[in-house]
Amino acid sequence: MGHVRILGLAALLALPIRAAADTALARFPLPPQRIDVAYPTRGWPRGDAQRADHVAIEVALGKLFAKKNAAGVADTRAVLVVQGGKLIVERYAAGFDASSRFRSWSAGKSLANTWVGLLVRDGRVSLDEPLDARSWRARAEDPRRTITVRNALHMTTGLANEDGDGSTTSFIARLLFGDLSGDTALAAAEVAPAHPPDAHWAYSTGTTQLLARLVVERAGEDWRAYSARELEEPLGIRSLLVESDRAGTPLVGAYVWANAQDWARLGLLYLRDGLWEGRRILPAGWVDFSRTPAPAPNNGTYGAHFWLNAKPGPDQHPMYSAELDSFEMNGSAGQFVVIVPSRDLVIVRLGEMNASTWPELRGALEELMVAFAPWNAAR
Amino acid sequence: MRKWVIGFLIWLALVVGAAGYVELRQRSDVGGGLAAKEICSCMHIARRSFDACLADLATFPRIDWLITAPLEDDTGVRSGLRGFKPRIARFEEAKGCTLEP
Repeated sequence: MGHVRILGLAALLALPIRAAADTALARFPLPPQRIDVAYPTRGWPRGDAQRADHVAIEVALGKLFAKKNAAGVADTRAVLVVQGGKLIVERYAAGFDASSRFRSWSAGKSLANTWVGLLVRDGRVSLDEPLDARSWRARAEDPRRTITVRNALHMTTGLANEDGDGSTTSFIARLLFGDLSGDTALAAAEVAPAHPPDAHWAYSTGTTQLLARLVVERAGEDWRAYSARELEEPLGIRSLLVESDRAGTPLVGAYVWANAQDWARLGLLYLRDGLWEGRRILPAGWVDFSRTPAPAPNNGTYGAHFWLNAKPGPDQHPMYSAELDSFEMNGSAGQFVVIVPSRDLVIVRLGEMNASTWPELRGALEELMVAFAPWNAAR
Repeated sequence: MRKWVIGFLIWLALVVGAAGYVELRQRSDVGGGLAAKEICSCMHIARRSFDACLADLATFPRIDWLITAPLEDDTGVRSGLRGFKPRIARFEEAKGCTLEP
């Protein structure tokens, strides 16, 4: 939401272009955790940046914390840098600390990817099965019944429920705050198909809510208990809180809360290919699937509920310079969990965007990333 | 002729007034919903003050048109345009802040 500006008529008129994402970069191998570094299940190992440009790190941090809201509070509330599994940088704005929870906006969508991954691992969901929302089941010939879980993760369902421009009449505004907010999954399902599945990428919080409903139905128990046992406890995550709509569907598309260290734990899980302390949390190949561009002709930078540093499609924005093999969770107001396999990095930036802009934040984050040497050289 | 003009102007005023009312109601409903939900979650989950939470909404367009306040029993937040039904977000331990219909 917010970060992706849908151009309405211009998007409909734009000629489809071939997705030009560099999948070789996207598939830079995911580095294993060094055996001499503990996973941060019971607390983060601390470390110093090795072969990093310390001046550049300070300059980038200064830029990130420079802009303030009307009350004088820095827009950036938390920045964490993890390299080699150790917490290298942990900085908070005045009034915030390691216990502060931050709201995800769309960065929470990547948690939907995690939950679906757990269900796939447990054999409760398969990627190519129909998503089959409740309200579609009444009619066997309903064309929406061909939409798969994979399509939803790729944001290529073809349903006319894309977020829109964020105005009061946009789908996203009505879904989260207006007449559709009571049952977000039902509202997201009860729209007509605008395209066949896989033919068109469109960013949709409603689509994430369809996945959230799938999680509720397939967890086989209360979804909170499932998430706690299968994800939060193994990773040592203690602060995660996912709000729900009135129908009980988790608002994973926008309202996931966690402290900065727990956001970094989620990032580290993906950097480590879904493994944690030798235990497979996400199925083999899941992270590579998540960081491979969705196959729609108008997409370049979106994987499976993760953003990729690749050539953008017509309605997408550029991210970082081409040399960075990053993939990330991101959300409105500049929520970032950026994973850079070649540098063995996880960078978390959380806060607001009252005075800062996307290009400023991305620029400072890129400066922070490149201040760290590629990981093989650093060892 | 004059009667016709007056009739047209009255009709025009009614149409413009009705359209304005619908627009304002939508703004109150969605804008009030956003403010109530955001501030309720910010207060009850992030544990920040009402004023601190409100300050982070300053860049939303026309957010200052809304009358926004914590509920008297401290369980949530209400927000809406003056003269319209306010939206209420109420905190529950299990669900976080949900908007009432």
